[in-house]
Amino acid sequence: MTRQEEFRRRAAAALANPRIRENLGRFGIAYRTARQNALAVLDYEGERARLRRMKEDAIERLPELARQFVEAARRVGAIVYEAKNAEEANRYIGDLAKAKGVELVVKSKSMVSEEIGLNHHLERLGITPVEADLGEWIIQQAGAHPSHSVMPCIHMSKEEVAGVFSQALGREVSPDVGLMVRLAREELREKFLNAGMGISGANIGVAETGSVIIVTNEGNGRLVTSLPPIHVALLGYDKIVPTIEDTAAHLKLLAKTATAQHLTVYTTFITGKTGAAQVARPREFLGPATGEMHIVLLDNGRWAMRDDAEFREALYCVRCASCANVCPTYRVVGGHVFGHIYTGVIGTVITPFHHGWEAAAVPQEACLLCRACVDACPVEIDLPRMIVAMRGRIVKQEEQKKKAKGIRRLFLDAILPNPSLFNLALRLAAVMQVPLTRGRTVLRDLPGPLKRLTRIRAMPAVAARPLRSRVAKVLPARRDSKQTVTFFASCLIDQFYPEIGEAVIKVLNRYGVTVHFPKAQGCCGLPAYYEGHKETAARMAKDLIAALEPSPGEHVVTATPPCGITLKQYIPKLVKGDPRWEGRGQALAARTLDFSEYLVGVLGLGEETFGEPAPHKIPLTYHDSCSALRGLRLAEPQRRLLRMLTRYELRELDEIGECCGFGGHFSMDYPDVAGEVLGRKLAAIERTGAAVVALDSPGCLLQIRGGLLKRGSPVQVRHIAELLAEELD
Amino acid sequence: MPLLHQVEERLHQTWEASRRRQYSILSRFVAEAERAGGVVREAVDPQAVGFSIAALAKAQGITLCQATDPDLARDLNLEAALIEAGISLATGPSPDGIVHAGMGVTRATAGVAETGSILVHLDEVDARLLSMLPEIHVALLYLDTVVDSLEEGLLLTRYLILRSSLLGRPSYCSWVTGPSRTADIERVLTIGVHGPRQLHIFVLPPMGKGIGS
Ligand code: SF4
Ligand code: SF4
Repeated sequence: MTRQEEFRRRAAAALANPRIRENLGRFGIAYRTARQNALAVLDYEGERARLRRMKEDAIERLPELARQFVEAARRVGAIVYEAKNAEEANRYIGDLAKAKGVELVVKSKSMVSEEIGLNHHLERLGITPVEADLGEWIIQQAGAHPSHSVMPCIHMSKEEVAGVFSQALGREVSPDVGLMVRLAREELREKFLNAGMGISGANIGVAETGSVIIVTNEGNGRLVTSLPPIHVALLGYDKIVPTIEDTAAHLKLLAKTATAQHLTVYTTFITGKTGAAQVARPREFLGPATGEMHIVLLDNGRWAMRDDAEFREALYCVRCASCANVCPTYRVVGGHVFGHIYTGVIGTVITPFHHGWEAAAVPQEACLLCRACVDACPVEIDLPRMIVAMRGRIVKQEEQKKKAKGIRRLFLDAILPNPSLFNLALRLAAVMQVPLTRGRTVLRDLPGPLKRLTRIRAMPAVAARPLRSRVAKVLPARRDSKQTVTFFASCLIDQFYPEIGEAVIKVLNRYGVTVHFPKAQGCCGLPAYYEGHKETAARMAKDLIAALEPSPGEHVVTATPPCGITLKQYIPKLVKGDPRWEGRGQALAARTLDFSEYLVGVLGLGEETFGEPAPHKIPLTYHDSCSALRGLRLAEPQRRLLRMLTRYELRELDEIGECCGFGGHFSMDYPDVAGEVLGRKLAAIERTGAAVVALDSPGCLLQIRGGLLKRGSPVQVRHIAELLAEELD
Repeated sequence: MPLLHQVEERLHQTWEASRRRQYSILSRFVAEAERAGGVVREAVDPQAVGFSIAALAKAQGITLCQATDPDLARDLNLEAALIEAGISLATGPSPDGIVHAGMGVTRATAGVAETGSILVHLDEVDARLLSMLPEIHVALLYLDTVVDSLEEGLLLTRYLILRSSLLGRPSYCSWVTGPSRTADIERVLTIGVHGPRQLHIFVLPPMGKGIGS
């Protein structure tokens, strides 16, 4: 099975359980507002920059800080064990428990313990580990795995949870949340009092004092570290920071982004051996705080991650799960599909280092590169960049094992990079599609192997004549020409939506701009880049630089934001280090502007309307493409242009910035997942009551227009360029 | 120990500056602590606090109240007040063990206005557990130990922990921000999981001894 087929299989299983996406979907909406409110009291950008700097510095100085931490912890009586891998950590803890005659272990939440499979190891030794965090306890009783790193059983209903309680307690428990929490308190209280060992994770380790900082809301962390006479704190090296004062931004942002609190209820600083001297038996003093403290510091791939320039920033993670909460596809498939043992986006990115590349190959497919997670991450970790880097390595490994699929490779590595071949292929398609389209411009249902393409939306027919055949090489401005630009069309506009290209040219011409259209231009390479075919993408980058370089336009203008990102951001990276191309790549990037940005920023449009407003305005809504909004940081120019229109009034969507689920190949490969994402977008559009959806990216246009058509909706979908051109008629 | 002195010096400056804004810091503290689900009362006379605690205990049907030490009970006139209300008092590690008290009374080392947190810095297990095991936790906080920002709170925490750590002494310090809570089942917020269900903070007049002493 290819990784695509395997992902489809797993996603189908998740989609069969509506509970997952209902819970995650509802949570996603509530989370958005709660998080916004919590963050409103601080300077988010400032604090996250501070946190980022702190983590960068800590990981940079890790060798020295780790040594300092170990010494400081030993000074206050902790016994520190440095474990290279999961086996070593498990063996140490298991042997310790055996040696001390421990039969019962209580645990507060520790993701590292899941990482190494500690419970399993203890059970094999005949020791009973009991999870004390409510969510983890439920998951443990159910014999399942957490699906979310902050809320482990978010995929379960209270009825399901009541079933777990009934089973665990051996009596009928009704699905009353308050009651269940009380029962858990009673049940676990017994465990706390009788356990011989408490195992905790740690959110932070402090080098200066050897303290471990544990953050919990329920209070289990404090009991696990106070009642049993042996406390084992299990943490990765990545958690070490210089001093307690360095944790300010971390503590604030973690609470605000993870659970929308100002601070988590219990933030506990444990420095040395502070647990009880003996197991607490009723009617006995616990005596002085002389219990043992063991700290297990775990490598298990962390040092390798630190040494890997592409993945080092994954070590800055504070485990807030924001990246999962805002991820459009996580919210559809959940953490059992998007993730391995560590769930969600960051979980998938670190999986290769802890659990191997095989384990990460399928889950990483879930990313459609919308970049929502980057904005939400309090450490500004570029997760999609790492996902693309992972894909690159996975593709390489598959090639070595000859696992790559023939047609896919042929398309990405041979046809797409060759503009004439690509054009030829689509011309062929334009002819072959005739029996299907019978003259129409949309295809509602494709047959046979192409069926998947139209499962969730109608597809545009390939244009009878591509833009490159419809327009000349130079398109002069009517009036005195003030400016010249080079138009980079993009494959979608060239082959599927030439009318958008014509609208772009018309608007530019009308504002005194002469447009050059170099016919040698082909694809920017984005599909190859996103799918991990980095060498092909680099080859295509050079071809495009060469094709656009001689064209005299002062700026290169594109009306396809994802390709704009390629030109501005990816191409310079792809040719970096190649002395013949590096400077030329940067020059292209510097010259490139998005259509809206050019009109507003260079031509100064958007100050006034086209004329008298119409008496009855048509409601219109605007869909921000992920690429423009988060990739190019453009949201205002498009709105300024829309406000110029005389016939429309803008009604904003209530979920600005949510992805439409296109994601290039993603919606072709995984229509069922993409369809759920699209469904949410279409519902938001319907809620505005708009008759027209404006947008700035042909990919979103394909997805949203196709989705509306499939639903039989009368709502029209137009590229901004088309709306502007219409006013100029 | 130049490092410790530096930290102490900065802490001292912070404390001096905060004292001038004591009451505005307090009102921020009260608002934030209550937002987190705590109940804050200001007390003029420590001797009267015992009666408030007793009334609270009675209203909640508590039969055994336990305070960390006899000094604390005496400062608050707790014994007399509780006897009057018919509630038993234990002080220090109790011969009844740690599992019975419905209410635990402890001191708080400091407060942090920005987050409404109190610092419960109790190194002895039996004392510390009084802020963890009972259903109700009552904490006494002196007005002049409340700092304004989270950063100042961390400076104080660093000082306290560093001071013992340099001497090789272990320590255990929690910032407590409201009663214990969970939202693990269907995200329904539920108060009172493994820790207290109620957190009551009594703010006492300035102690005048300086912070962290
Ligand atoms: S880029 Fe978008 S789809 Fe990919 S992980 Fe981030 S939020 Fe999810
Ligand atoms: S990657 Fe960022 S958003 Fe995701 S859990 Fe880590 S810190 Fe939070």
